[in-house]
Amino acid sequence: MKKFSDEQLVRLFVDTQKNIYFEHIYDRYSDKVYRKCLSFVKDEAKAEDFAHDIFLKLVLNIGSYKETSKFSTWLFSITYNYCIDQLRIAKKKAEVELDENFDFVDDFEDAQVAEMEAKKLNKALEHISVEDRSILMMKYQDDLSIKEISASLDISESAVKMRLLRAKEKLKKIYLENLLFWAIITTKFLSIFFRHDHH
Amino acid sequence: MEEEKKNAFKEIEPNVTAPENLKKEISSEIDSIRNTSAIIELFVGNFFNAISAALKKDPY
Repeated sequence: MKKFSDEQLVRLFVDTQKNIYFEHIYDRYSDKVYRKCLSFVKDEAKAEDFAHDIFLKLVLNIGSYKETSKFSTWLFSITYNYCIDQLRIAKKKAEVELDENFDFVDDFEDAQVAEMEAKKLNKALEHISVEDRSILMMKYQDDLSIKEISASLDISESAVKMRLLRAKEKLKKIYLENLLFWAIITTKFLSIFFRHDHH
Repeated sequence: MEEEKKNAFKEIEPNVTAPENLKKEISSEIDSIRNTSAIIELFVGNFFNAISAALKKDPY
């Protein structure tokens, strides 16, 4: 069974309706989907419910899967869209459509991601909307291309670029604010400590 | 060999596995969905067959 690709397993499941094929797909992706849900809800019981619903959604919609995209991309799009729908945090903002020649310079990945500390990044991600968080995770955690994200979220590629840009700006702002906050606290603490030391 | 680039997004992914009971739960739910749809199909099919048979029946 290991030699079968995801797409072959899907075809076998659709044709035969045998659970064994679904179970193999499940074994390949359950941890990934569960982790994704957990990083959204931070609660194991809720994440389990989310993963449960996502896999049922997958089964109910498996007939509509066209092999135009990778199966994993399709499954992640169900996962992200489900989490976004459930959390219902951000209000839809009007998208400013950019012209097709909009140049997306991705300097974020190389320089800034490398500089970010995982713990502080995690904290900063909690303070941005679920839509912003998911688009950043799609790009930088799941390594999806702009085209794949656009297909997953059903928005144009230029809208994806714009949303990514805005999400990164928000994340950077919160991340830097956090850094500044801790720098001030540390300075304050040190100044009090040294003042005491002098007396 | 080029050193792999550090990416904090990869680091924050929780290192947990899906609960073991989940697979069984989903599988049994898939079975019940399949069974329910089979029953509905059967019922609807028989219902229309009965109606069409009743309509075809010669009243005299």
